[in-house]
Amino acid sequence: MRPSLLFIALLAMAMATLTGCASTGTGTARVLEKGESSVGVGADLLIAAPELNDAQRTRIPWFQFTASYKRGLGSPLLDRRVEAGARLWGMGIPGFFTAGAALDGKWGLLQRPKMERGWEIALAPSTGYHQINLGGAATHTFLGTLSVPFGYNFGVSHGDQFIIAPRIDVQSARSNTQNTIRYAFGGASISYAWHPFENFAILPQFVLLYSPIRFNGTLDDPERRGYVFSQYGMGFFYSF
Amino acid sequence: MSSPMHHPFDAAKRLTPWFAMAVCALLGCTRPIEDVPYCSAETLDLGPAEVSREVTWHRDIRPIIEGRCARCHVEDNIGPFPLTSYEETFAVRQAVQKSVVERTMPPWLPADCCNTFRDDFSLDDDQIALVNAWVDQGAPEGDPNTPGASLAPVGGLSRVDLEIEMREPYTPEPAPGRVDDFRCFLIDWPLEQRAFITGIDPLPGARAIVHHMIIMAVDEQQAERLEALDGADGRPGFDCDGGAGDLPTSAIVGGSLLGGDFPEGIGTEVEPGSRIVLNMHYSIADAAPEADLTKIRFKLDGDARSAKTFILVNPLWLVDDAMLIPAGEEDVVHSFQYDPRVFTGSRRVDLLGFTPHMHYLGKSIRVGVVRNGTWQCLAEIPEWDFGWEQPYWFEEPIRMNPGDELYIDCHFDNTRANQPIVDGKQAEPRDVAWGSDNQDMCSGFINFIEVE
Repeated sequence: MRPSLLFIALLAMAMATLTGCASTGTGTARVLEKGESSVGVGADLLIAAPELNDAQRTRIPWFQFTASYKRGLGSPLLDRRVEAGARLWGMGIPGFFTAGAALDGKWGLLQRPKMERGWEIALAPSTGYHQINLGGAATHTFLGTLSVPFGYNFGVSHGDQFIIAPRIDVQSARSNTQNTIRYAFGGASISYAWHPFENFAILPQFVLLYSPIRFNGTLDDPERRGYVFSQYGMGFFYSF
Repeated sequence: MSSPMHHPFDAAKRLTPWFAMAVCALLGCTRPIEDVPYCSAETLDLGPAEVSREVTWHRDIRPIIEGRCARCHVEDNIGPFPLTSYEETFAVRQAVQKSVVERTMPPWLPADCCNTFRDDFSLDDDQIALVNAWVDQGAPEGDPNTPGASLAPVGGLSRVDLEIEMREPYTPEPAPGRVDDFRCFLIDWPLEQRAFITGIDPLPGARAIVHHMIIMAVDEQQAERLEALDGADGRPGFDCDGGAGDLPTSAIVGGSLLGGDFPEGIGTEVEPGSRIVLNMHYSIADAAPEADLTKIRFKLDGDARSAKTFILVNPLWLVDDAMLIPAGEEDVVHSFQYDPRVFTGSRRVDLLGFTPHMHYLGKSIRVGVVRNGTWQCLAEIPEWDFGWEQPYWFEEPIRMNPGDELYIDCHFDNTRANQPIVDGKQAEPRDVAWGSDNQDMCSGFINFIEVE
């Protein structure tokens, strides 16, 4: 057993789940129409890769399940589509579990009929809470995300769309065993929404994020080793 | 008959316990173990007792010095001066008295109110009183024909089967403004058959600057990668982290400066072709850099059972300043509790020993098991000494069942009075967080075996 890697593994697993879930998160650049709803389930493989020193990163996987519900609200203020929803995610093994919830919104900046070729753009803010529990006192993380999904409609199947979504995550983690830490991730997700049926979509997604957070003891060093975080998600959505 | 009036607050009162339970379920309402006082804080130290009779070297002191001090205080060992004769001891009697009365020597750190340990080489109250009285009485030699009974030997290797040393001397070169140099060295493993290391005895070449070492074994395949690093920067060895870092270690053999046998039947397997990695922590906080050529002695056996290791640390302490120790603060506490089933897979385990780890700012540290909300102390070190980190083997293994949790807390003093000396001057307090170099840590290694 390699104890030096054990706590890194713990750290990475804990950190890896902080940013919610790829599979049912931002989703497409298309915003649900008023009265339209969508439920989704998914699974995410998350890989955290903190840099241990100048020459070495470790890579630790974690896995979680997710579920979501979203509903189109119409355009109460502007002539644009708006949707709101909620997500839950979590995973547990004996001695360790993580769980979280988020409220999601999406505001259509540029929308078009889903079978019409061309770009769609949306603004997708989200705020959530995430808990890491290794026993004893839990660590509580509050997070906010802002992503801007750009989706290209191919006008095929029942509305397939390729999506690239730059995003920023800000997080704050606290517990009664540590000083509160605040940090930010920047990155993007790439996904493809495949609609094999009229109301059903499969959405594989890849997210890559980086944080310049200090790690493993660089408090008084100008260098920041940073933290790379990737997610591979697969979501399944049914709209009605 | 009218129904009774229900005030809205009544409903709120009824819901309060449920609300509290919900909040606890969400946020965690674990009983704070950090509120449980250190057992040593409840023990009064009244100083050494009066001894009314004459105390002599041959009858009273020699057995104590031979049994508890001379293991290190001999030529070519880590003690800075020998204590192998009356003359040698008499010459430093006042230093001996001071360090014994203050309990800084022998350097046994755990409080005996918490747990009992193998190879406890501390002095009991009666022995401390004798040493104190002997010096106060002028340190008389007494009659060599009436020697006192020897103490049972404690610690050390029961036999030496192998001795190896660094390939070449190394003189530490900390970065400017730093006092620490973490350097790893490869040493060939000379045996051509499989063996189990069942005891170690480190022999630092430059004791004044060797704070501690971690001894690891890497197999032949893993060693090739490390060989490429060895000497690549023009100096012996290669830079490495204060812990095991990212080294592809196959086994942590042990650490610290004070060696000894492992518990009966416990060992670390080493294959032919392996290398021993010495992860040396040099500190020039109290001494000038000098060349070091460290040796290691081993006790070997043909078969043994390998112990595994928990590391007890909050992983999030590694992130940014989560383990912040603000400048000027006198008592900063960081604690952590976790369920080790992530590693044990819900098997029962027996805990064998504990190695604490903090740096310069550490004041005290303790670890324990939290079992159904109750506290069992594993080890408590009320006066941390950065220079004497070592493993402590429990007298009896301590059983952990699934669901039991491990707990650690550390107290830090970041005031001016507790700063290390850098370039001959006491450093100014500054914010410190987790880190191996110029920072601090709160962690412990707990050795365990699975219950068969």
